[in-house]
Amino acid sequence: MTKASISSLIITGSLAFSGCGGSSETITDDETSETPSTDILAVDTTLFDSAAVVSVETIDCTLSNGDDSSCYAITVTGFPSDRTELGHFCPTDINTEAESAGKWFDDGVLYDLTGEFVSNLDLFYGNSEWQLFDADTGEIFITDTQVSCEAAARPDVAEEYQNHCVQCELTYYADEGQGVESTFLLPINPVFRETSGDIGMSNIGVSLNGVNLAAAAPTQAILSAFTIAAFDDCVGHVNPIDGYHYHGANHGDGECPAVEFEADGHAGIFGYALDGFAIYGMLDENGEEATDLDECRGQTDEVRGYHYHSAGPGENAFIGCFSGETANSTDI
Amino acid sequence: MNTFSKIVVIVFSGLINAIAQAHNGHGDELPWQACSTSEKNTPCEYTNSHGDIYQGNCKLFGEALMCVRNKPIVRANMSKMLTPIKLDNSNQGTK
Ligand SMILES: [Zn+2]
Ligand SMILES: [Zn+2]
Repeated sequence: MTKASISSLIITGSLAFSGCGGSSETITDDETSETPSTDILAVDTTLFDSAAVVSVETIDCTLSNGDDSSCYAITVTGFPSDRTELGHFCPTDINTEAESAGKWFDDGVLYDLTGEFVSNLDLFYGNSEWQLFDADTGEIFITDTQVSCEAAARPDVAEEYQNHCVQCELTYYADEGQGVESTFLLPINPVFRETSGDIGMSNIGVSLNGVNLAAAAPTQAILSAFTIAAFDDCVGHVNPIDGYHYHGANHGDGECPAVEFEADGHAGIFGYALDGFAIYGMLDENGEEATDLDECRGQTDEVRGYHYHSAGPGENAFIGCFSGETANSTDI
Repeated sequence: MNTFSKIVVIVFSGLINAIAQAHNGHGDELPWQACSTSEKNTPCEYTNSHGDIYQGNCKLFGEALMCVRNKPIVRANMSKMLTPIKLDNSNQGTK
């Protein structure tokens, strides 16, 4: 069973972009993980922000192990319900401060994408070909049209669009203040896989505020074209296929709203993976991370059953793999 | 060493460190590089330019393996973390 069938439920465009997401990947078995013998909690759709949800249906589905099951088909707005506007993304000039700029990540660290940061990319990456700004005016080269943002997001970036800070406006693909709707199938009662499943390059889940949680951004391809696919404070950006989507969890920083910790101090929940297991933040209220995460970044406790903890906001990942079966619709 | 000299040394060492970092991690995309010759699910580790150590397993994203951490980050010692480098505006706090 492939993610293609899952992706068929997701409203997408037709372009293939290197700038993250959209492609369909086969979920294959890993060889090493063991089946956890732990409690499993059903997906709780009431945790989703009602303003983020277009509809929730209970449908028949087939899991990636071939078993028949029941799933929630959750259609979300694609616009974060806890915000009224997106951005900032690219800095406008080399003097732009952090408050008016977005983020970029590298080697596990999330950086403020300030004008100064952009003006020093040649030093940062040790390559003098980086030149994202006009040396005379200090203006940053930004893909400020739909044509240019889509050209810079393709796998092979034409030379004229290299050395740009890439920024696509959501209004190219949705009405003002709206997102690109997507439907996600979540097994109502998650089922552990015998061996963990690969993530692929498409979405890994959905946030409770109605946004796609994307797989790893292809940073090597992005950087090889001397482009920066700017994120906002929530480590989200726009592509033509998924619209606005997240590549990391950075709640409570800058313009990105915080997520409340659980009553027992455990990190707060912010989404569900496609296998129906919940995804929580990386750190607990004391700023500490669990030491017993499995290779998918999951753990089990008595309150939450099996669940994931997101990687850090600069790590280009939420989870490492699927511990549970993903789903495929049989009746829509 | 007088105060002025200390400042010069700190700033200079920061500059050297920033340049050294440019050739010691940034642009290599260490999470991918850490698994470039590995097999899926094998342990991986990388140390970024801050000296922080990330340990996990090689996981498949599309056709490429990336090191996904599942152990807490081993932070570099405080003296390294306090090295004044303008480029390293890492998001340890709020901006
Ligand atoms: Zn993306
Ligand atoms: Zn936990």
